[in-house]
Amino acid sequence: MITIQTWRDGFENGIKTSFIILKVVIPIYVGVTILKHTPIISWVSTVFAPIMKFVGLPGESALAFVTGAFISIYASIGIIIALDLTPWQITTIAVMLNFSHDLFVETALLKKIGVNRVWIIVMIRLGCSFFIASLMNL
Amino acid sequence: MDYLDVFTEILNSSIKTIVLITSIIIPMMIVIELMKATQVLDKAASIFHPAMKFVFLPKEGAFPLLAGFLFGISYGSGLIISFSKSGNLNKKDLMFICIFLAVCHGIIEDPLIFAAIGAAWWFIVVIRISLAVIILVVISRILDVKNQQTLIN
Repeated sequence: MITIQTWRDGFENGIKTSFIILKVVIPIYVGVTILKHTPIISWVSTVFAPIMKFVGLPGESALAFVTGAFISIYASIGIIIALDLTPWQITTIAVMLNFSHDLFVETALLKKIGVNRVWIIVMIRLGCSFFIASLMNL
Repeated sequence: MDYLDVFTEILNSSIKTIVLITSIIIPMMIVIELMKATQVLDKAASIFHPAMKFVFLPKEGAFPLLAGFLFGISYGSGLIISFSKSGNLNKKDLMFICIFLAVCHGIIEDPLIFAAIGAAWWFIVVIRISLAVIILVVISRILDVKNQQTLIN
């Protein structure tokens, strides 16, 4: 049954959750923007450019994918907004990350739910990421 | 390096990001709370019973599947864990549900967050749902033919 409290709870949860998310996104965005003005990002970009070429993304976006895939999707948001990507590139990395994000945390949760061979699921997720992204680059 | 330029860029983008994220997350959490209050998920789950049969899942699988699909693994896992403990879903069922969810969960929040930074929201949704359905249907058929134990245990 919907009451005033329902709306209040929702709003409160919204504020709390926004805060949690922004505490990750903003500092990382600030950090990467500053790094952009150092040689570090260009180094990352050069090293990962060959791999990211398959999915039509610049080398430095590897940082966004690796961070989002293994750590937190919100961290990758912070990185992506610091990069210069076309809308299609943003959509591509969004698709990649939607399949594979928070892998450590979510895989642990899946184990808790009762799945034994979680590595199969990780393989499926990463596979989907790169498969679809490479199709998007055709 | 012009420090003032960098500072202005950071300030502008940060404010924009704060506005974008809160304008998505707050309405979303309100909707989730409304859905919990109206127990719409329980009623919606029964609509999906035929779909469960199609992928050889018991009808009890509809609720956790829907919860994870809409709210994501983090938010939905509490619901799913207590549901799986109730004993109506065996290891194979959980594996199928988790395969689907791993590919397609949090269909409200994840694509929206990316839409806020410039991605095509509908594209992400269509791709995720399509791929999850295809993979689930294929896997359920393959495991129906082969020995199910090897993949589950």
